[in-house]
Amino acid sequence: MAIVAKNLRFSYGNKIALENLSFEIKEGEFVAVLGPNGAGKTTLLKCIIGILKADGEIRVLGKDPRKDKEVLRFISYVPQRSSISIDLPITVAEVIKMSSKNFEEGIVEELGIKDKMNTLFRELSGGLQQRVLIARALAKKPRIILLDEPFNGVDILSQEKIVEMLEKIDATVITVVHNVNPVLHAVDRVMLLNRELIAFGKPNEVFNRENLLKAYKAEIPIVICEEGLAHPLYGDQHG
Amino acid sequence: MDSFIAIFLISLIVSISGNLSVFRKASFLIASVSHSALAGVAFSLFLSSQGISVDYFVVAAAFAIAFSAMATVFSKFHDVDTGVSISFALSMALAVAFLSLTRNLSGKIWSFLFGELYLITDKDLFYLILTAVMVLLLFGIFYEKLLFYLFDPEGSEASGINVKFLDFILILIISLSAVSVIRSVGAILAYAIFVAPAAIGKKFARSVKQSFIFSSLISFSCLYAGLLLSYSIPISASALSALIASALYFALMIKKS
Repeated sequence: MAIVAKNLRFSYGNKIALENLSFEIKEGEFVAVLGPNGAGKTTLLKCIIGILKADGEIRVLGKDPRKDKEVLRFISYVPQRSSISIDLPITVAEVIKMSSKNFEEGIVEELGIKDKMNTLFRELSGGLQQRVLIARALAKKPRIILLDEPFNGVDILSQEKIVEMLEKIDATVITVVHNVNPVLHAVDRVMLLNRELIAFGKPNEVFNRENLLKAYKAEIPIVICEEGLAHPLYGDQHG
Repeated sequence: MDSFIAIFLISLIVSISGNLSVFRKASFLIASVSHSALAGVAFSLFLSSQGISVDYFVVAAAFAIAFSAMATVFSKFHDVDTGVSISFALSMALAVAFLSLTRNLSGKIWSFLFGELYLITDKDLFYLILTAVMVLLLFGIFYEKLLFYLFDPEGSEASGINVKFLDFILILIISLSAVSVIRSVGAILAYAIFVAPAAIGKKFARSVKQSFIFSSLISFSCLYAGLLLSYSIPISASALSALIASALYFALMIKKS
């Protein structure tokens, strides 16, 4: 198992962010985590890494990340771009080398940023910046990669490149998403969260009226695509 | 010659500390730290007036590190600005209190408030050399981790970097730097010499290393120009240097925009 959580609970002061959360994620799985604002999605990622110390049981690659920092060698975390100091005069190559000095060139080639290595990170578009952050995460050859809202402010082309890459890599991928649709065809399972686990399973098992109403407290229309997958169509007020 | 060497060392020191604080988006911390160092100097003067002889540098460094650590801790309750501002006010209040209790020696505080670039003593020079070596060593050892942390605090923590320890290293570098230069450029004017060249460097550099080099050259030019001008204009060298650095910042930002 890549991750095992049992009765996970975390609160910011008196405000409960996560409670009674239990789940298992197998190695190599691609999981999307979604839910409304304040559902505890980012908190969950930080609890998995051990930056936030949750109550309950959590095992990442068999280790407790709250105590054993060694496990972080096998995990890459891509935070939201808003938490990054974008205006630093730092080149794309310098950003990627933060994670690993000897990264495979294939990563930057496949993400379409090979010709940007000497460009300043701050001069790239949002989509290209996100690709650089993904390249930095992959350079480390992680066994688990955690991404927080990787598609926010990212153009369609970059979204496709990122999803393609995430599908291809030999790692467990857990991504928090505002809108699940760009990644829906690539994921194995989706986790619907609103402080507690609403549903966790294949997209068509999770996306039904009852689960979405429970998570978002609003009616979310569902559209079935040509491939038979249920796509929730959110308005901005839900995500 | 001593002033020239001092300016060279100050440029190295302020380039590193100024850039680190600007990259950390906590440039106001420089003002707070230099004023807490001033409170330390005032305390050492107070002790001297009571017949207890202590080295101003040691006391000022202890005050600067303690107050900046306090500002960082209290920033977690509100935000960096609030934590730093309250620490700034407290250190200034303490400086005034100690000076009020100090007789005869309180006039000495003026050189620490406004600086005396052309009156550098051997002891001041020794402290500048000591600080430059320490700052360069700490910076060299932790450069890559500091860069990762300053660019992506969450990502660096998630990769196993001890960010609390790095914050302490940052505080240590900034505190030692502020203490070492207040004798030459003054607690009030230190802010301009630390922040303006670093802000220019950050804006125009094409790499992080370039930003450090640019700001170092700008600091050196401003300080040296201030010193030279002070021989012909009856204004203190540190005030002239701060004026040049600030004017340069505004002129370049207007041009860039």
